[in-house]
Amino acid sequence: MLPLESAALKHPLLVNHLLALGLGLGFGAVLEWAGLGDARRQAAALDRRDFSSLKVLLTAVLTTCLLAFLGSSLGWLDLSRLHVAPSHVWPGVLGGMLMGLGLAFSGHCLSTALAAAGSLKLDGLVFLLGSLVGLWLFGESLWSFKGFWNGSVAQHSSLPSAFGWSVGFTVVAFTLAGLALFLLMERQEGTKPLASRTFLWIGSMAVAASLMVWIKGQPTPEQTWKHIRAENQPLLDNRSVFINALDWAKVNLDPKLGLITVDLRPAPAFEAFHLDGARLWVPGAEKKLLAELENAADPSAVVLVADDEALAVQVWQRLRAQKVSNLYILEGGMAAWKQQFSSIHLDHFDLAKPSAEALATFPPEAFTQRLKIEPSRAASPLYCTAH
Amino acid sequence: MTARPHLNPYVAGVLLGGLVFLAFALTQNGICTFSSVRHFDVALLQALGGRHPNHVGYFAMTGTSVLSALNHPAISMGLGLLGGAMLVAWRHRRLKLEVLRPDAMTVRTRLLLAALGGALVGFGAAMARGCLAGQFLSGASLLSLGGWIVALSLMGTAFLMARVVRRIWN
Repeated sequence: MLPLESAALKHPLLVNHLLALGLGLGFGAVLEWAGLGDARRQAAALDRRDFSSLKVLLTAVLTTCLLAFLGSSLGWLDLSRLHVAPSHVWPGVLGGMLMGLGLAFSGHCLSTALAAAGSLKLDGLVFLLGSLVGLWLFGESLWSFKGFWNGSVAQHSSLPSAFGWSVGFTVVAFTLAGLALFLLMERQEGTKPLASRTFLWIGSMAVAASLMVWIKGQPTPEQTWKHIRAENQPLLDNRSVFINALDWAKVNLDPKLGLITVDLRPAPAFEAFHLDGARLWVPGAEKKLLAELENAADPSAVVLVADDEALAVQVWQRLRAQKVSNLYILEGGMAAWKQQFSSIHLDHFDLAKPSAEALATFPPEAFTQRLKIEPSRAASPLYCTAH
Repeated sequence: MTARPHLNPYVAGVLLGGLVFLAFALTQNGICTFSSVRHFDVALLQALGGRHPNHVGYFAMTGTSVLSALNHPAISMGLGLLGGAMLVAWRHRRLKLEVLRPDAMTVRTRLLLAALGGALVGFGAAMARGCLAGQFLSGASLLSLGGWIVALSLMGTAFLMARVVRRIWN
C-alpha cells in the first residue's frame, strides 16, 4: 500500500534524492511547458485577461485531490501517512497576504521563478535573490514574533473535519465548485469551454471520479487494520504493548509526561473504582480522543484498561489503525492492578493514584519500563481513517 | 525560429497534479519549492555567516553546516526543477537570456519589482510554512485547512491588488 516507506529501503537518503530530482525535473518541465515561467501570464490572470496560469493550478489541485482520495477509497493509498504543513490560522493568513502582494508586484511565486531562472529569464533569478533576502530577514527577526508564529493552531486540520462533512461530499463539492470556476474564467475570456473536447473530457472524468470517492467512502479502521496488521500484530503477540501497573503508576507521577488512560469497562465498574484521571469509553469518546491527540502540542501515551483482554486488543487495533501512537494496554486489567498493590499497607494509600512512597516499596526489577512516549513518526498526519 | 506554443492549461494541470500525487505516493510529501529555497538560503548563510546561523533557531533547524543544509532531497528537487525547465525551454526554443517585462516597463523597474516581490514571497512563505506549491498544490489538494487558508489569503490579496497590477503591468 502506498505511500512508499523509503525509510525501510537500503539507502533511504539516496533514494529520496533521486526521487526528488526526478519529480523536480517533471515539475520544472511542466511549469515551463505550460508557460508559467513567464511572469506576464500570472499578471494577466490577476488582471482577468488570461486565466491560463490559474487554470493550470486549479486543475492540478483538483487532479491531486481526486487521485489521492480515490486511491484512499480503493485501499491503495494511506492518507494518514502523508505529510502536509501544520495549520496555523493567523500566520497562514499573514503569510498568504505577503505572498499575494509579492505575486502582484513580481508576477512570480517561488516555483515559477525557479522555472523562469531555468529558462534564463533574469527576472526569475532576481526574484529568487529577493526571496533569499526575505527568508533571511524572517529567520533573523523570528525571535520577536515567535509566539504569534507558533500560535493559533487550527482546531481542525482538514476541511471535512472543520465543516463536519464527509470526505466524499467535500471532494464532490470541491470538484463542482472548481468546474464552475473554470466556466466563469472561460466566460470572462470570451471562449466557449463546453465546445472544447478537452474541457468536456477532463470535466466529466473529474465528476465521475469525485462521485466514486463519495460512493465508495473512505476505509474504515477495520479495513485499514488489514493493511497494517503484518507490521503491528507482532507488538500484540510478543506483548510489548502490555504494561504492568507499576509502569503506569510511575509515569502518572511525572507531570511532564502526557498520559491518557481510557477505561473500557462498563460504567458501573468505572463509577465504583477507576484509575487517577481515567476517562470512560462512551460513544463519541473515540472521536474526542482522536481530535485531542491531533491537536496536542506534545505526544502522550494512551493506556487502555479493561478486564476483558479481547476487548482491549480490539480497541487497540482500531486506534492503531487510526495512527494513534504510544498506545498500550494495562496487563490484566483492574484485577491485576489490585493484586499488584495488595501488599501495600501505608497510611493514606490511594489505590487509584499510588504515591512515590508506595512505589519505593517495590524492587527496581519489578518495573518493566515498557511504556515509552515517543514523537509520532507522522509529524502532521492530516487524515485519520475515521474521518 | 519562433517558440513553440504552450501546453493546454487543463492538460498541464492534469500533468502537474499527477506529479504532486506521485510525490505524495513515493515520498509521503508533496512538492514544496519553499523548502528548496530555504535549504539553499541556509547553506549560503552557513558559508557566509560563520557560526552565526547556528545561533538563529530557524536556520539551525534547517542545517547546522553547509553540507547538512545541502544534503536534503529539497535541494535535489530544486535542481531538478531548474533542469526540467531548462530542458523544455531549450526544446521549445525559449532558452534565452532576457528579462520578461511589459513593453512600457524599463528593465530596471522590472528587476526592482522582481526583487521586492521575491523578498515579500520569501518572508511570507516562511511565515505561512510553505509557498504556493507547498500550501496550495500539495496542502489544499488534500483538503488541508491550513493549505486553503494560505491559498485563499494569497489569491484574495493578489486579486485585490488588481488595480495596482494593471498599473504596473499594462
